[in-house]
Amino acid sequence: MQARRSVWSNQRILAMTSNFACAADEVWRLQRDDDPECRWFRTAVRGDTEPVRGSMQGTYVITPQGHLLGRINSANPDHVLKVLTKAIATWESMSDTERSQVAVDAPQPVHRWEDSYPTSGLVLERFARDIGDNPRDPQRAPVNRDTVWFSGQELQGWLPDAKTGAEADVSPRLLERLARFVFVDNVRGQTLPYARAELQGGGLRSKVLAIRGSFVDIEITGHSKATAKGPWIDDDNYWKPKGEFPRFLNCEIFGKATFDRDTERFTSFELVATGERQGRTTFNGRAKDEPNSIHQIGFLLRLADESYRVAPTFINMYGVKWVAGPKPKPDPK
Amino acid sequence: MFAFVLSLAAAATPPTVPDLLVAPPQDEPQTRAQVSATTIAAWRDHIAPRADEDRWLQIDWHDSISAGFKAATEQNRPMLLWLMNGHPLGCT
Repeated sequence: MQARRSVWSNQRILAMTSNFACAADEVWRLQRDDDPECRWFRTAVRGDTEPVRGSMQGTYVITPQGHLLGRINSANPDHVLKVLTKAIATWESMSDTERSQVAVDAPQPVHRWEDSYPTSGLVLERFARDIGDNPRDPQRAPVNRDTVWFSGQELQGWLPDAKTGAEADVSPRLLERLARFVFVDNVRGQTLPYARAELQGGGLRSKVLAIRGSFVDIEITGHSKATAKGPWIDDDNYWKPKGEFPRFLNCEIFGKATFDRDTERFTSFELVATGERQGRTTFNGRAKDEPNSIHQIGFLLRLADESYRVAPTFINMYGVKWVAGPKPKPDPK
Repeated sequence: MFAFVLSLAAAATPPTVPDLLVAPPQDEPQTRAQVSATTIAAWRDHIAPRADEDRWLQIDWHDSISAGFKAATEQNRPMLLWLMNGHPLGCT
């Protein structure tokens, strides 16, 4: 996350990027999975398709022919700029024939979580930031982002009857998704989700404030409470931690949204959750917290642009049919 | 009405969603930072990224290695690939 501020916000780097087709992707899958897209990456960088342990995080420059021109893992813009400059020099020294060759194997994925993007559903981008007691306090850095998806069928779970003043519980499944996967402390880096049995209480209520033709204005209020103690109690998936990370995160939630009954889409959606957190996980940058100290945290959820289709971090744990996982490997027996 | 309750004691047998529709909890959280109809806009602006925090989004990022490869091929340029644990354009 530091690289967003140090490298990719640097004016010299920004100017240099016009020489490239720029892409960003998640590295864990690319270095380990058997998908053709992942094998293409490993072949370009290492010359073979074998899965790689450790981390291959960093910046790479690869030609359309699949040749590696440079790589570096650094948050120092000067060091990154040096690698990019050298890579462009190498590219420009290549003959037109070399540069126009077409790669034999294009990195076409068989499965990506983005394939389950809910086109007719609700896609919210989520921001998380450390906060003070009130919004007049100075803004703190950093801010981190994620996204949360709801299918078209799940949209109804947000809505009471379309009558002014009508109220209803928001579907518990939707609150569960928020409490387990969205209201988590990844302000400073990746963290763990909460298991379902770690949700200790919570509720979300939706109320119709006004009806304007096909538009239904609603207000959303409630709270969530998640507490993890002892060993990991969820499935044995790739979020399974090696140690125990006792922690909690409690939120009060307020939101407002407008649903268009004609298009069956939300035309606006804004939800803020403010709360308190305690504890840490392996990579979320909270190792310096005083033991048992409690800190304020804030979340903002708002409609994402339709072009933003990066999958939610914990989508593999949604447990819904409309999210398609990778096909299991055939049994070698 | 507000609540569903998930019990740690039930961890061995995860409850189904209908099971969770029980009485409101007595220990609703009391956080210092309150959000309401009158404060939501201020909190929104407080939490949302500032322009200088989103400068990295000035780059025309493609969101996958395959999309980047396609663009690199069409533009006949090298692909600059930024890889992180967690998607760099999402939660990393």
